[in-house]
Amino acid sequence: MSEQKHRYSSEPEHYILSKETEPALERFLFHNRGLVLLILAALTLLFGYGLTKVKLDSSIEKYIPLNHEYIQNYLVHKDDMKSGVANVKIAVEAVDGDIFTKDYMETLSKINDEVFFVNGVDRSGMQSLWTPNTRWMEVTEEGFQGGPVIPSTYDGSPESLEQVRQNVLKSGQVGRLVSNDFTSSIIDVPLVEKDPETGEKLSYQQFSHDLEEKIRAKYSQDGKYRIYITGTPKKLGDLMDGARQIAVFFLIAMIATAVLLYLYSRCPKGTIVPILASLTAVIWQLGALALLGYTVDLYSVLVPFLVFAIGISHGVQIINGIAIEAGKGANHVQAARKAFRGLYVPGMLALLSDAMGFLTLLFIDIGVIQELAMAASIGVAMIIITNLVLLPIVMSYIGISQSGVAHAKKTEAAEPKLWKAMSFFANGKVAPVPVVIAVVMAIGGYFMSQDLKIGDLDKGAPELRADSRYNLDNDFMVSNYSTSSDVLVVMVESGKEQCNSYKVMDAIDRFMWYMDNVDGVQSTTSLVTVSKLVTKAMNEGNLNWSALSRNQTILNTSIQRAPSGLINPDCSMTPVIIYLNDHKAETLETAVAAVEEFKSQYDDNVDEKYFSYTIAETQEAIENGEIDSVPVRFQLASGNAGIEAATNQVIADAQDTMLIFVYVVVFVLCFMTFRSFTAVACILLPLALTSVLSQALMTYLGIGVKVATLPVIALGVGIGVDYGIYIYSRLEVMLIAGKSMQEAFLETLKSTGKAVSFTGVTLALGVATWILSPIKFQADMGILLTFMFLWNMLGALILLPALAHYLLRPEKIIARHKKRHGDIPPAG
Amino acid sequence: MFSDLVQKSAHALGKALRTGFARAGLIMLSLSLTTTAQAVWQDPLNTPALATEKAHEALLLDVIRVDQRLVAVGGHGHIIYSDDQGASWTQASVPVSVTLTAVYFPSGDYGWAVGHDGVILHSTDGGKTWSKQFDGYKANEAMVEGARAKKAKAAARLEEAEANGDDIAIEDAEIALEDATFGLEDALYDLETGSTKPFLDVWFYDAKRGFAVGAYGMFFHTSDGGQSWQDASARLNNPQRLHINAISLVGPQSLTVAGEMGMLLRSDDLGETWSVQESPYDGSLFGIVAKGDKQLLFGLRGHVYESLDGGVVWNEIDTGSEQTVLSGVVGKEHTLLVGNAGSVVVFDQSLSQPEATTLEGRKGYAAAAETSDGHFVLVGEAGVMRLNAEAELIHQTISMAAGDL
Repeated sequence: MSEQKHRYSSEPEHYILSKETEPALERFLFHNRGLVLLILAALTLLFGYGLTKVKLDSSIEKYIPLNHEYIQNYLVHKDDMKSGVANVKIAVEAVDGDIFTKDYMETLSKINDEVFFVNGVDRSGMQSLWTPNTRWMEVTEEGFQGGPVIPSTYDGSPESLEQVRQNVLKSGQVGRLVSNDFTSSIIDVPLVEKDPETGEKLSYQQFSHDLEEKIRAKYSQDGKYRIYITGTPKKLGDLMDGARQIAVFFLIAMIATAVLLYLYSRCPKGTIVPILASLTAVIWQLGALALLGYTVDLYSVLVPFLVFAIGISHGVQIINGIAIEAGKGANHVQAARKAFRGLYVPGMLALLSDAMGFLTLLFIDIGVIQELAMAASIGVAMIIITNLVLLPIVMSYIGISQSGVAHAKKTEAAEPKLWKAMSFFANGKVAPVPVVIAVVMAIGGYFMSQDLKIGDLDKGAPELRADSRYNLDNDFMVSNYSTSSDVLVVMVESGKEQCNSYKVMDAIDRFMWYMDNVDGVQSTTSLVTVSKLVTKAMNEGNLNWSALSRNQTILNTSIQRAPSGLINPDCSMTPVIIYLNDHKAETLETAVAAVEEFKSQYDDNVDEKYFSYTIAETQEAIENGEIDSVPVRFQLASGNAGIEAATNQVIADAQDTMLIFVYVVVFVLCFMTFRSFTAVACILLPLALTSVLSQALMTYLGIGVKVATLPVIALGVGIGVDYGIYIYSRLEVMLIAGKSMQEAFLETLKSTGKAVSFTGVTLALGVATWILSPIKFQADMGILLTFMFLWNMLGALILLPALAHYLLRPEKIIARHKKRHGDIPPAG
Repeated sequence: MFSDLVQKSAHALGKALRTGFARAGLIMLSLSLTTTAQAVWQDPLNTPALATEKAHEALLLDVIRVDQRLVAVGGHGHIIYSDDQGASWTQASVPVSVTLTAVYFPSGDYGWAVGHDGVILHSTDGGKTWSKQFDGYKANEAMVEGARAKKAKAAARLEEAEANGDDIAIEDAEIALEDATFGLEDALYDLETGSTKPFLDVWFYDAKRGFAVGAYGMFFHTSDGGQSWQDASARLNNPQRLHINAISLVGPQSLTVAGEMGMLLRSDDLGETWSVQESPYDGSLFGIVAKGDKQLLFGLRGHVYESLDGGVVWNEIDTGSEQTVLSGVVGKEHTLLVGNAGSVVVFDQSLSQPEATTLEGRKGYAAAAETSDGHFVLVGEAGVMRLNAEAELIHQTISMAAGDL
């Protein structure tokens, strides 16, 4: 290459870095190659150290919209209601016969004892047929009579088993501790918050493993009994286990990528170095986040895949560039510099648009999504250094192998039939076909996506697959016991020591019946349920007394033994638990709307201060005429359904905003680069089609818009725009060079078509492994991202040229270029 | 061409942004609306029952057949009626939402329902619409008045006894005065607390004369179709003010009340005067059913007694059930006693040969009625249940409409 060719322009106009800075930056980097490598090595050590601090986080708070009104209300009372959250239920089922056999009772007793000693169990709160707190009670002429369900005289004889059966019936535990068909019974296990051995937060994963080994594996091996375990701690434990498998997927993705990369470059060095560079980016990203104090959660654990895949896709461009320059006779350093020079700006632009796309996720007020945005943006920023700087510098030392150079030469010279055929998409005769198909698909997709639902649609724990162990266990519990796993909790607030006053209790009673009448509500329970039940029991079990008494003394007596979770320590809040049929968005919306409606009728909208008043202060305020009576208000929401309702609201509000912002961002970036609305339209319309189609796909697959799928839109558009940018910038160069649309597109395909399709496949491969994840939402993300990456690639290769045929006016592009740069050809 | 496109997409973007803002505005507006809405808690005695299509699945405490119609009452002010033997039900219009415990129709269109908080409701259209005649506030006032009268009477008796110098009469009168004083104190306390006491049963002789009985010895009488109710507890010998669980006719002129601690009283003049009966049991009695000369008395923990001589001699019978019996119905073929935990005891035509069964679900039943086609309708904690003439469960969906409220 002669020195004369030094004169070049970076046109099409790239305004992110002026053309003057390019050589300066390039000169600086390549003149101090050793120093730069040393600095980068030091950074890698630093971030590598950070890698040792990476922690998998299981806190639930990050997954919920903390600033939503419902969640704020929930956080106020979180501690009062914590019983029930950290709670595991273990069901022991007799495969043949029922639970009233000597062997079953013995086994249950053993399991009960074993669970008792599992680390983390709150032993005082445990309940099963064998714990002394499970009692039966009956009304007699003399008053109440009762005792433990399994009497002290129990000896396993048929008589004593019959005694147990009678006691179980009297205890009212059928449907709670004993299944409706008497073939299984439950051990209810509350957990302590802190590990009593280490004093740290209890590891649910360890607890979950303990249960699997010491209980499930041990007692179900002889086939006589089956063990079912449900509860939030178990679910989180299973999720953490699922997250571990991510490492295997990463390995699979890496190997597959290496194979692809070798097939593409036919150069061992050109295969290993981009992989190492991309791994460096991953290490930097994980290390940097750990050093910044972030933890890894079930979403951000996926970011390394993206970083790796994006890194590879940019690395391959550099390797390609180096091979081509080497083929033209440049030495190692020159080839690397040339490749750097040619790809620095479009690479930067593409990576910046990725990062900006990710940052739009910050608009969604949910911890995991925001951290995902941060992690992905930082990761992409790391790629700028590792794959645009480190990679060419390393290659400038080791150079590309001869086989790689030969392959690159061969490829450049070849004119594949596929490219030739595809070039007709830019031809007037063929162009209408993709455009018409696209329009039809867009319309079809639009109508199909009208049925797109917000929220999780599957029953059970939506985080896990429907056929996962946990969800099968959950199915068992729901169908054999009178419980629903979908619970909406409304917190009823009053003044201090007034939660059990007649007015508050009556308002709750009305509220419960109101909710009982709402579609999708199975049943409700609260302090009022307890009060009515006990009042009835105190009146000889006569059903006529199942009502609230206006006599405060009777009310007080009736709730004396109410479970602690139903009343907070100073009796200023009592929860109403609403069991729902499922957690579909409509069910949640209907229930929440009904609560709001009731609230608008019955909530005392008095000043906040009255809710902290004591009885005496309230009485005084009533006498002074400040308030009418004891204030009461119904606060949404807790329970899994309450939290999901809040999440759905946040997502419904955020999804349009986010979609608008992500498109505005890519629009602005593309417009700043190409300074042409038509260019932007050529690049963005295929993306928009993909967005519509992916929504249709979600509808088809029954995937709702949820915490997991919302980021997919931003990731899909942010990364997907890269293809368009690469294709269009090439196409424009060729048009300026005076070629016809079809010729220009053929040239574009020959030079970047392969790189673009390689990128699409690499990215798709990286995310496709997620589909295997046992964690449902990761699998959903995998499916959607794979679809988006591939479809965006097809859009850039097929729809873009067809649109270009209709929208672009080559003569205008040339005229504009001439006006600015005379006859200096653009860099290519 | 493409400038059009650009314009259109710019327009679309603007629209999207505007919708976003409009939506945000709407949210703000609805927030401000909710904070200004005025909420008022109303006494359930003044709150009409909520329109519902689920009352037939919720707590129901009494059911009665009036000609072809079944009328049932229960929790949350529910009164529902059925004109097709209990297959489908309609909600009646009720001005209160307190728990209703009993219903009675002396004949045809005129009916009364009673319940918690001392409420008495009246219907003149066969149970479709109801109006409030009486409630616990009025009951308390009436009872204070009654207690004052009782005390004055006792004081007068003591004076008289002292004047006569009869020591035994003085002692009796002193005890009576003491009871009356406590009675007045309690009545005044209740007046302060509000309407706390439930009526547990109601019975009418005709469209004018009837009684409402209930907790803590509540015993009210009307002779003008409920326009006015008088505290008639002085007619009963019930100084401890025990709960009166039931009132029913066991012969052409013979009224019986049953209650706490084996209370059994009889009146042979339609309630004017009452005499204490020898009770076979000292636990709670919940009612009595009669057919011909035979009577069955029932109560706590499965205790059932039969009498063949109009209630003079009682013999305990073993029904095979230990569950409390709360109510009974005499049918053409069978007589049923129903009670807690799904227990049903079936007697034959002559009130003999009891057979105890437990209905699936083990829900408590508070009352039963025979339908015009000889089937049975049971009501209780889980709402309506239908049995055939042999007292076997009819597995058929029961439906309900909200009615014109």
